[in-house]
Amino acid sequence: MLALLGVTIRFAAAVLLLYAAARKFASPAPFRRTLDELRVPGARALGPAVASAEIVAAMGLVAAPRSAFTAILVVGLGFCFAGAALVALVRGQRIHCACYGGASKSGATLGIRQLVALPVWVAVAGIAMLAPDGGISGPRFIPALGAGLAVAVTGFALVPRALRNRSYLKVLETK
Amino acid sequence: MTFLWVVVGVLSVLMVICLLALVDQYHTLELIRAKLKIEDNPQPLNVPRDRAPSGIGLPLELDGKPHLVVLFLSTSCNTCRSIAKGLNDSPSPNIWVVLEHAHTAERALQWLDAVALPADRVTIDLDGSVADALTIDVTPSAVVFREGRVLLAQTIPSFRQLTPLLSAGNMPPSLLPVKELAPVEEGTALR
Repeated sequence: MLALLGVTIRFAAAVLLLYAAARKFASPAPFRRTLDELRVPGARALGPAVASAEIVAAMGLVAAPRSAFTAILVVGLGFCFAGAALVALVRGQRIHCACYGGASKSGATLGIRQLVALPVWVAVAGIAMLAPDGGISGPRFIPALGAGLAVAVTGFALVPRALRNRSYLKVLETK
Repeated sequence: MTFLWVVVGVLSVLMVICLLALVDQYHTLELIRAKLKIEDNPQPLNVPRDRAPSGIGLPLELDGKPHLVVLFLSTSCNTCRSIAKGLNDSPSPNIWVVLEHAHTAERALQWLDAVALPADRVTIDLDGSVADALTIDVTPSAVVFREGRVLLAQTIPSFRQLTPLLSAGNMPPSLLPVKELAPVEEGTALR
């Protein structure tokens, strides 16, 4: 039971990190804007660096959950996000949150959510290290994680937009 | 072997990035269309709800039709032409066309001939009285009647937007007007 819970939490966190990182690479502008608003030096280089760290952390949660490196990376990312939120709160500044890599439609800003998420990231790292992996860990699960996310992105985001676009273009054809 | 798994894993991540980039491109296209106002979104029209088809100058037998779409087209608009051609490709027994701005019957028949629309299900509204009876001043537009009562009226910016109106069963609930409040039953106490 504990193993199942551990695997579920590890994979859920890995999917979240991988999705956030992939969005940062696919559409870097929102995250760069957040870094610019935070007045972080070298925002152009830092964006891909954070996204790469998220990818490595996601792979670590799947391939090497008991590794101290994975735990440090996950907790480190959690501290980075919480630190950014703390900076925004201390400055009293409304900084757009590129939450999970995307531009927030609701106009969400950095703040309490990222601070609340910090213990969650610490818990994820702790569970990954301490809970039995149930034999579901290792590099062979990384492609499964990527392929699963690719299928989900295709089904939930790409296909509906592609169909809408096709329908629109068909209208133009008739004109 | 581990190295190979990692390589395949990285490739799968690259695939996710490419898919998300494509999603972003589609999203950008939608934003551009919305900004330029070239989305073909229908707009609701405010028409009198108490008019029956025969009351606005259409044939009496249309009053009894369970589902009727009265489509207002103009000889002077290109979108109307494309919609008429779409109707020709997929005809519907529930549709009745009202042709506006033709000025003469000959010109109207020429237009119908050009779009290959049969004239037996068309009213040529030379004096604009049919459109005036429903206060319709925009084409292309459609008024849906159910059992002779106006159900909804909206602009039809493309044939795609007309398609769901053609069949009563296919009409999405979002297009239907809000249901009238149910009458209070006798003996029900009002508080």
